[in-house]
Amino acid sequence: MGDSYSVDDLHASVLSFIANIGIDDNKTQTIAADISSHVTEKRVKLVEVVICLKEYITSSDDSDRLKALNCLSSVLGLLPRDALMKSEVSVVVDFFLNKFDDSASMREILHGLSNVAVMKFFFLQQATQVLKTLKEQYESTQYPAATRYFALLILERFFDKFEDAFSDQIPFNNLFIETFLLVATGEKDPRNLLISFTLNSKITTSMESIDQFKEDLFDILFCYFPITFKPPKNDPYKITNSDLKMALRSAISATSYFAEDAFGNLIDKMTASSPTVKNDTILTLRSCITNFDGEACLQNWLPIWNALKFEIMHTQDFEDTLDAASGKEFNNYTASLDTINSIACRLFDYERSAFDKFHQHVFEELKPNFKYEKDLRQSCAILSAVSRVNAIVFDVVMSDVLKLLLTNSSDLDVGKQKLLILNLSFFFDAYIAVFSEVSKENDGKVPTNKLLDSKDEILMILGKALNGSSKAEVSLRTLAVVQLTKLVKMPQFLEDNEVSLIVQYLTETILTDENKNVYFACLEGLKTICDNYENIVSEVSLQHMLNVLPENVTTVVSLDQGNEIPVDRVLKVILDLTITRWNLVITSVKGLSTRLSEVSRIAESGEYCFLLISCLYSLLDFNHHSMGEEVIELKRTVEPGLFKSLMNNDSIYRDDYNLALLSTVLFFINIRTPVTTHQEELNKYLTLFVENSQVLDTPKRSIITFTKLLSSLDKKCQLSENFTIMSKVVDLLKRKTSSVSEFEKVGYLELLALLSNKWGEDAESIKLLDREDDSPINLEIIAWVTKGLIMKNSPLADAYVNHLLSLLQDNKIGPSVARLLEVLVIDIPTFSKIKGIPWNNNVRLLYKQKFFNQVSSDLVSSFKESNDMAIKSNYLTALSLVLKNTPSNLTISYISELLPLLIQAIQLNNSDVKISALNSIKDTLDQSPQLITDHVHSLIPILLNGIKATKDNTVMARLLCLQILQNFSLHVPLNYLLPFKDDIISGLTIGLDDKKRAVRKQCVDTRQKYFELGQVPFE
Amino acid sequence: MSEFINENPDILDENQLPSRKSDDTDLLLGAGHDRTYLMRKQQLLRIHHKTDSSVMSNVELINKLLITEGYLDEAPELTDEDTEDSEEEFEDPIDAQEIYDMIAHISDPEHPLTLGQLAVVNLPDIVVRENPDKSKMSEILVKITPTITHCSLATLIGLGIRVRLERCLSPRYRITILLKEGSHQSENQVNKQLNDKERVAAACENDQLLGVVSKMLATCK
Repeated sequence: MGDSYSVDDLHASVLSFIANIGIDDNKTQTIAADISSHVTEKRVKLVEVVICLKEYITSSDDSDRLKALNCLSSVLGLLPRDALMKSEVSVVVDFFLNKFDDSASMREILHGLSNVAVMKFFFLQQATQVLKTLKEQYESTQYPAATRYFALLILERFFDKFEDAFSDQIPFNNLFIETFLLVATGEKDPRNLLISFTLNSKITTSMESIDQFKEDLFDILFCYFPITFKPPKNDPYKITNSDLKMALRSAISATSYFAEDAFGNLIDKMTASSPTVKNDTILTLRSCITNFDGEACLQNWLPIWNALKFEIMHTQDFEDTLDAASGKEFNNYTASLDTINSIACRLFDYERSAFDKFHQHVFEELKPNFKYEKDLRQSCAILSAVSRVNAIVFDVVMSDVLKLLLTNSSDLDVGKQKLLILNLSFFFDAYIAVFSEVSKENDGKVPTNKLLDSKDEILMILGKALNGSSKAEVSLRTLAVVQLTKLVKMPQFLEDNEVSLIVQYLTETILTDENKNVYFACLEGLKTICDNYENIVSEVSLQHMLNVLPENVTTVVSLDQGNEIPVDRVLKVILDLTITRWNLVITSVKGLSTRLSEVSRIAESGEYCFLLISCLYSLLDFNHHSMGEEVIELKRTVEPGLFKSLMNNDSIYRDDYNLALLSTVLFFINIRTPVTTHQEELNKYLTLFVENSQVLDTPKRSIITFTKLLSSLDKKCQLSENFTIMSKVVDLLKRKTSSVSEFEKVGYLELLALLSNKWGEDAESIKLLDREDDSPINLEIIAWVTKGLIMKNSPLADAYVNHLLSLLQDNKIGPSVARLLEVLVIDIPTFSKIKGIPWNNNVRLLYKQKFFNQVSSDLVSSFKESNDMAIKSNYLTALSLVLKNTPSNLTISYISELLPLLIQAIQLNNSDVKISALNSIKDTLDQSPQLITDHVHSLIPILLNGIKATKDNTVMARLLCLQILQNFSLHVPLNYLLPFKDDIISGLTIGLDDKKRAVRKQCVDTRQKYFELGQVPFE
Repeated sequence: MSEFINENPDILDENQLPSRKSDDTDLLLGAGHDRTYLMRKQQLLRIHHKTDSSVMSNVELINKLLITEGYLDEAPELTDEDTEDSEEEFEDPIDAQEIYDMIAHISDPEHPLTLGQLAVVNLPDIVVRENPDKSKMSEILVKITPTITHCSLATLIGLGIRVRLERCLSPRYRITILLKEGSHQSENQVNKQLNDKERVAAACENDQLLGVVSKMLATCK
């Protein structure tokens, strides 16, 4: 665009603007911006724009005039604030005001004026002019929402611009309010209402002489109360119901001038039946109380209190209010209580005497409820709300309430005890609310207070409820536990020795009470106490539990007072309590290790050792990810002892499970130690096992420990003898096949897999494999070494996988090989990826998927080609075993291909194959039922056959059949299933007489589903 | 049923109902494992809340590897002559508690409560006479106690119990449902009605009645 901009150019632009109105709004904006930039840079005068438009402005066609003015207004809107001279502003304003009788163009007139209003040289004088004209000639009800919007916008802009002028220009002030009242009356468009509400509250908060208008200003607000608005679809302004609600609420509560009208009207609305309206009313009341001055509150609290009291005492969903998660958007009960709290706060801040009067009144009204035990919970809730104001008020309220609550608290029945505790709990909450703040400001100190004075009595009541009542009183005991926990949370309420006492109560209860609710309440309580008093919990609770673990073979723990509980209960509590609390975990690991060393020395202690070891295992399994540096110290403390017990004590060494699990415990401890120490550890273990124990020369059970320890070390460590070890193991296995026990063999084979995966060169590893030898032990060696290779996706593994697959067609060794294929994908915990540990092995993320892709199609096609049933079954066994160990999200896409095979697999006489096939079908049914639907007719007879108790239909298999049948009723379309309804119901009769209760139970449930199948829902 | 016949019955809490001492073995299925394995698993279950803990799967893994080993060491034979010893399954006999569990959770037609909570059915009032020869009939006797002596819904409750038991029990059981002595004004009439095969069958043909019964049974666990 050059410097010259002729009138013709302007004319063209104007025409183009007018042509594009209502067609392309982006285009008109661009053109307007263009014109205004020329005006700004004085290449063209504003008056020339008007002249260009003259023809249209004076046209007799309404729409032409409107378009022309639109053009002008849009240009004005895009001008910088100082672009127009004083005289120009004045001319433009006059121009628009003169047009005011043209009601068809009103929208653009107002639009233009709203844009001129922001100009620098727009003065109070012009504003007065505009306001007068608006007041006299503008009739808001005649115009649509878009036009009214500009009228309100003008007012809003005036307000922002002349805010300072209102105070000394009373006539202007009054004129503005009068005009606003006229303009805003009868508004119903949400966007305009938002402006109207905001403007209203601006007026009432910052203008001074509004006294004479307060009723009118209130009326144009309150006529909308309670406001509800449902935004239409594609709402361009994105105004929500709550925007409007909040704007209205803050406008109503903006000034104390409204107090008289607002309180009266709102209290009237409290009688509304709709809970939503009531909620809006209560919240608005609360907002008024907080924002109006104290005098207003003093004048009006009595009727408000009466209305709120009515709401609280008559609330229908009282039970819901106890349950915070009831899922409702609002809760009038708590909102009312909060409002009472606001009254108390406001009055207290205003004048002590005003508050005292209020409190006196409330208390006197509620007092009889204590005597007659009527609405007592609500009464306590109200008093608690009042007491939350601050520490002084808390004391005032407490001194009255405690006298009433704690009279003859010694001899109460269970119901009354419960009620008393519930009522006290309101004041515990109030205490927390009041004193958390106080203690923060006061370095954790809390001033003495009335509730503190009754501490002993409260402790006694709660202690009695917990310890003095029968175990059947579950709800009372749970309540006592919850409130005792709350006492600990109350800042500075308890002394350390009292916390210890509570911890002791909870520990005793959690150990001896069978009820689940009580158990979890105690557990939660102890954990909460841990937040602030971990030391006390550790000493009083954890240490106590570790100490009571017996030192001899018995698995019964004797507690004080002759209580006897099984050891497993203590261990369970230890596990549950310590979770994620690292200090407690360390204490427990140490304690349990010590106890294990003592116990394992005793003969026949295998069972007890197992409990201790499994507890250790889970402790580390749950928590090892949060181990830090402390693990070095932990290892130093416990490893030697554990090691000694493991090697020397038969209760562990000769017990398969104990030995394997304890070895894994050592794995967990080592895996978190710093990598830098690993080489040294590796050398140490090599000396220990290979040189001292000679595990590679004679079969030793401790090989499993060696394997697990190596699993935990860094793969970058130097293990120069790797190949020698592997070949020695192979040699040992082959040479002494008969003298190696099964347990030892598993250990050695796992070692092979580990070494080939972690340290071995692939090419070297396969040198150990002999494809000519079909002896079982050689096949196993192949399988395990291949497993190590597969896990790191080594290309060299393929040949051996294929070798194993080809052996499946061998009549003699086929079945064994089928089982060995499972070895290739079976998960071994010490081989798995552990979060945050990149260095323990070479397991690739998707190796199972790759393997599954590789073998599944082979297995399926070989299965189809074979004619011999025995061989077919080998393929099926292999397939179902591989399936079982592969996550179902990987296999689901193959399922439709595999389904016919699976259905055959269910009919094979092998319980493992059967169970795995049934599990695959069940998973498929849950994930993509449409695949199963086509096979329903063939599956139903097979499944019904499967519930007969035979040697191969194990309990698990029978249960699965029944569960699948039950799930049919959920997933399979009715028209497929209905024809089978009667057959299934009668077929299931066999299951009703099953030997196992679990099967009968499942059968009853399944059968019930079919009785209800296709039944029209009642009512 | 808009007006309740008995507005304020005595109610037992759900957890006060008699129940079987929790039986962990139910969770441990799959025979064919040696004793220590099962025992160990039971011990684990008592310490951990659920069956899928990592320690449990590790124990299962050890066991599985051992079994695979054992399997491979024996001269391999065809799968259909599977040599795995499956232990003889223990029998859990049907007892009064099991019958109680079947019917205690039936809803009362006029209260939102179960028959167990209202003490309409009680554990001591259930008798199971098992015939050791399973080809012969065994007998089950349930006595119900209506909440009040003129309860007109006693027949409906009885019918609900009968339908539930017939659906849940093998046909070799003869089911007798009686009102507890002295618990109802027209005891004999109701007893006759409840144990008359023809009348029960006729009642079950009535769709509306069956709908009511279905609703009662919907809360069964």
